[in-house]
Amino acid sequence: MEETIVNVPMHQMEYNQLLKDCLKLKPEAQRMLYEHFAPLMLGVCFRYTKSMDDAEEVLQEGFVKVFARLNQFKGDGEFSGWIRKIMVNTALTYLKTNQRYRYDLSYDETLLHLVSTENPAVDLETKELAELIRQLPTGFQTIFNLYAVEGYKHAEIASMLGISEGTSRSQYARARIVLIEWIEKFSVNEKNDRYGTK
Amino acid sequence: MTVMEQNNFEKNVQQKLDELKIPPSDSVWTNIEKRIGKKHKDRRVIFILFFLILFLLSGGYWLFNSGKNNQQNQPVSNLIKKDSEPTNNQDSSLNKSVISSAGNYEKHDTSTVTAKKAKTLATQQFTIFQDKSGNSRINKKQRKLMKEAAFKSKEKIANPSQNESAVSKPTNNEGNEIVLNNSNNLSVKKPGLSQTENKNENADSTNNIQNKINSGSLSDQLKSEKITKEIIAKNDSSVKKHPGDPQKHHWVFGVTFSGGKSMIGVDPLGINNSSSDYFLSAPRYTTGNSSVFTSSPMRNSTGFIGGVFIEKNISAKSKSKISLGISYKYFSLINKVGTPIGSAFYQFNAANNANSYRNNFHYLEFPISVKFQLNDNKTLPLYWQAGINISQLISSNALQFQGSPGLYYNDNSLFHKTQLGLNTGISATLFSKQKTPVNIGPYFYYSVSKLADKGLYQNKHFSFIGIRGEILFGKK
Repeated sequence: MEETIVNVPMHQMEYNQLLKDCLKLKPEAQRMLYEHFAPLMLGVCFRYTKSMDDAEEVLQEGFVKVFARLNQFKGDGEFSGWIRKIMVNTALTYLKTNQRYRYDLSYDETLLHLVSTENPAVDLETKELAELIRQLPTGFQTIFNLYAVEGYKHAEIASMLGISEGTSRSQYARARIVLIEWIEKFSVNEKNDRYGTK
Repeated sequence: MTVMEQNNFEKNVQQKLDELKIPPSDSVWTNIEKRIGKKHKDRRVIFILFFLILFLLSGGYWLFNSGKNNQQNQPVSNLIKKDSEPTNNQDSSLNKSVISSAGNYEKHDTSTVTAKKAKTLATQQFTIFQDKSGNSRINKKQRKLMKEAAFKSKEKIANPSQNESAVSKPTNNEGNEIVLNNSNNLSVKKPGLSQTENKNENADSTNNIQNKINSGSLSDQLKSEKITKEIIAKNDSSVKKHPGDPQKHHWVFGVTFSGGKSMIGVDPLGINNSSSDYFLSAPRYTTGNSSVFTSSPMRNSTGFIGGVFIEKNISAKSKSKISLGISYKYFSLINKVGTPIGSAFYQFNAANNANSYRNNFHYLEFPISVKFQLNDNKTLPLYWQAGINISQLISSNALQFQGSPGLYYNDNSLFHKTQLGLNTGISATLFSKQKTPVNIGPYFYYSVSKLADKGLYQNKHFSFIGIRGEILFGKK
């Protein structure tokens, strides 16, 4: 898939007008809104799923919700943040209801609350980092995304996923350790490939 | 390592991933477009259907009633016209003096009351109609009207050049017809009445009188002559009522409201919902590392139905009625759910059952019912009513349930949108002799169709029990 994305900046005035037109169910406005946010939101969906097909399915479901609930957006925050929340929640529902993820989405409460001492620099490309996160088990992947990327607190994550706060913490710590390990390995391999050394 | 350092990793990751943008394939938008377009179309179709039915019902009701009024008024007007045209071609204004309006007289028994206006007219006969008890129902108001009409007639006689309509169309605010016939008899009539009596049927004398009216020397020669009987006799066939009394067969418009309890269950009364462990919270058991939750039981809750209907007698003898209508139906059920998942709409976890959640169901309903009168009491008739209802789910926020990992979520695609139901009830008619009688009594509804084939509402049926009230309008 090509990654040539043109990020069209949008002024507040245009933004408001676009939302108004979408509320009037104007197809051109709906299309424009979709085109403006779809690449960024597919990036969000991509991080929560294991395949591009699943990510696109979540994106599709999310945008249907966005258009259906557009009148509920009160304008008290950023519109992109509002869409993003819908996408994240749609992704979580997708994981919980989809057979492929359901059985992988277990949160082992017996895990020790390990604390990683490493704090490596992330020299990877964005896509490579996202790919690594997707390699994590679904439970780790979800909690890592919610905590490290979306910025939710462990209490919120616990509430969202129906788990205890402690479970969220331990799962995250474990996910962090695994990911750092992978990042380091990936970086070393990259260097070796680049300079032809083993 | 400090927390700050630890956060650097998260910050780096966040910054990197915030830049992640992937263009989706074209098929995504195509699918979204289809789905949002379908939703809009569905809503539009429901609204159009609703207003179309409302329009048809109200239009049909209006047409039927206006048609009926015309039918009732037509014969009397016609007979006067028919009578006046051949006998009087000199002053047609007198012959046109017919006012049609509505009144409350019965049809068969008629009598003649003569009202004398000595100062102005020699004798005028007022033909009025009596009610069934035989009492002459001429009251002060009617007398006043007759006087006014007579006075206007006199003015017309004295002033032939006066505006025709002013004389020929006196207003009767009681709604009776006042007919100034060829012989200057004033007849107060009820639309649709069958007969009036007439003492004199001499057409020549009518012409003489008319000639005298025109010559201005009439006042002392005006005598009461009744020709109405003959006129009406000519037209009797068009006025005569059928034994079945058509008034009892017209559509009557009404509004209805039912309030009560909506229930759900595999049995008609939803008894199995009265679970004692309603407030017990999930989870129930654990397998391996993950907990499997059970949904909290549903509790029956408020329901109401409101709408409009039309009703007519099937036949007078059988004392049965048929009614058709359109209603809005609201059913609700309550269950316990956990905390909302983030800002997600209609998504709750099942880890604890801390909050009550009302599952709302909004339906558009088309009921068809038959009513049978159970007693012969005319003051307080009792009816047994039974019928079928076709309902269409308009919207719902009802939650579905996923046992593992324990999630309540909304998915209306699982519901059967169209429901077929049966209803029955008993009602007593209050104020049955008034123009707006009220039916009131218990009402029971059971949905024959399953609410869903899978999910939380699998194989469940809705039922409703409550009190139903109906107000009928336009009863004659």
